[in-house]
Amino acid sequence: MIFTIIMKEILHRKQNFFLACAALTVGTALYVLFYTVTRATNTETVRLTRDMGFNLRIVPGDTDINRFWLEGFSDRYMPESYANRFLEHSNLAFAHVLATLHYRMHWRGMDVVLTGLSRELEPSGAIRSRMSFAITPGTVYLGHTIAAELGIAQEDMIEIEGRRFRVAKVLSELGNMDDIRIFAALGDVQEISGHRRQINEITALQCLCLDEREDALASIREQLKQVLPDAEVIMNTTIAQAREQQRRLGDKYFILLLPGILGTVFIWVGVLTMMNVKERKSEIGIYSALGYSSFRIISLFLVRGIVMALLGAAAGFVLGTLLAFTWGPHIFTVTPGILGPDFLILVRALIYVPAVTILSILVPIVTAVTEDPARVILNQ
Amino acid sequence: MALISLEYVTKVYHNTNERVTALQDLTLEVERSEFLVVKGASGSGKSTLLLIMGGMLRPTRGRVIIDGSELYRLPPRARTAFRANQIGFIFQMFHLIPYLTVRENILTGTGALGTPDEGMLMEAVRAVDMEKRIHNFPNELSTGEMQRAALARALSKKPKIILADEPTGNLDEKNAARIFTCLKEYTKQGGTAVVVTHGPDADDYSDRIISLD
Ligand SMILES: Nc1ncnc2c1ncn2[C@@H]1O[C@H](COP(=O)(O)OP(=O)(O)OP(=O)(O)O)[C@@H](O)[C@H]1O
Ligand SMILES: [Mg+2]
Repeated sequence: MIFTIIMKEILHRKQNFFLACAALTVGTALYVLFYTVTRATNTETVRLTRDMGFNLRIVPGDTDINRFWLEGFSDRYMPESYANRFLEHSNLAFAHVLATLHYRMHWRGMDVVLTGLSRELEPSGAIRSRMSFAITPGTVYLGHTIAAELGIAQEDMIEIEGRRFRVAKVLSELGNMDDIRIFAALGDVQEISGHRRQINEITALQCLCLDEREDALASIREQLKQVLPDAEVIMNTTIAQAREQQRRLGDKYFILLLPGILGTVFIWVGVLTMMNVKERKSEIGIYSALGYSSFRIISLFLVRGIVMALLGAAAGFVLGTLLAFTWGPHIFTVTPGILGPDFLILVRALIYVPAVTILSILVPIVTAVTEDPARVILNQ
Repeated sequence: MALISLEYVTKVYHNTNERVTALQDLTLEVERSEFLVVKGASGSGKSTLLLIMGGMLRPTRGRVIIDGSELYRLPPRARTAFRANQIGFIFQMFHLIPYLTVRENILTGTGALGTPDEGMLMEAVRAVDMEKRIHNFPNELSTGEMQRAALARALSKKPKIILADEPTGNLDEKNAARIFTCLKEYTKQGGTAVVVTHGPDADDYSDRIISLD
């Protein structure tokens, strides 16, 4: 009976129901749009950051930054164990931590940089896709320019400071300093350079520093000071970060707009319900006279609101997802392929939207129903 | 013992800046199966009296005893249940639900008890001679039919008491007569009717007429 009454009333007063439903749809859609796009941009930023290479370089504290940039690396040293200490004690989430030793030398008539890389250090137990190559001791990866100038090919044997190495790979042209680099195992470079158990750089990909704090560098420095008091951090601004900045700009407008929009929807739905309740005052009186309990009368209105909210949430999810597909790439500069419908948020919408709707309509409903229903039904 | 008995019932309405005494120390008994007509000038408290008898309005003072139990001593839930079981209201303005058909409107009567009762529906429809109109909406009915539909809604749950507030105020003589005939039939079968009316139309059907003036 109650359900028949509710459905028939909805059809009878379509306009009010439709207007409330539309508002809920718009509110949900904007939230879904925002959420879907944000999730996609986060994924994308992480991916881009990784593709762009290491973006954190930790060097000994007494490094002369001016020379660092001129040379391409620090001419100071720190113990190799710092890399592990950094990984174990830092609260920040880092992936792909490498202990690195750069050593500049003159080799076969060329100025080259010998770069020793440790294996990738992982927080205990973590499995990650390798982004750098693990170099077997006794082998080297040769930069493109060196190989071309000196006519060295893969599998050739070369000699560096009296040690023999097999060229495991000749790197393709990268267009940066790596083209004049010889990559070798960290231990080998430590031996050659005479810096046993020492490194001059920790390279790390800082992968989860996407929080709202504007100055990520400052907070990393703050943390680092506690873990490695005598080290300095240098962060290179990659395209990924530029992109993230751009996205944040998009987010910002949205974050400013969203509460306003949701608040408007909240009030709008409340007012429409108030109008509906007012129009049905005599109905409330009749149900009361017929012997319907206040609880049942209230549920007539509440269930109507829940039906409204569920329809709005479902429609809003569809609309928001479609908007994310069409607007996402333009306004939020997200690669279209990353966007996808998120069914978790559908479930969330189907719970939250009715909950919020109930909050918005409960007061007008309860006020009207508990207000003396007797008089409205009698002759005025 | 009388079915309904009011003892020194007083109702004072408190407004923001005035107090209106609608009923003053009213003592009244209504017998089982009685057809009682209540008259009185406008503002004499007739509607107030019906609301009090129906458990919809708590009197300021006095006792209302129906079928042996004191109505306003009951917890609100029990009073609502009492209304669902024992009381049928009819009003001058009919107050049918506009978006429900006649049939569905009548079912809301027994629906208050839990599940709507189709059997009682048909019985009530026959009593008011509305078989042909049960699938119509209220706005498709004449005023006489509207009031008969409303009467069927009240009758369908076989209440002990029907409280009618100027039920024929908007009807012509012929239609008014049909309503009173139905109500008379109801009292003959053991029901009790308290009917508020201005004019003399109901006098011929009544067992007793009182005035609140
Ligand atoms: N909620 C209220 N607040 C204040 N005064 C009220 C209220 N309801 C009714 N009254 C007053 O109480 C008195 C009795 O009202 P009631 O409606 O019972 O009279 P009535 O006999 O039914 O009148 P009528 O014949 O016009 O229907 C009137 O003076 C009315 O103005
Ligand atoms: Mg009245």
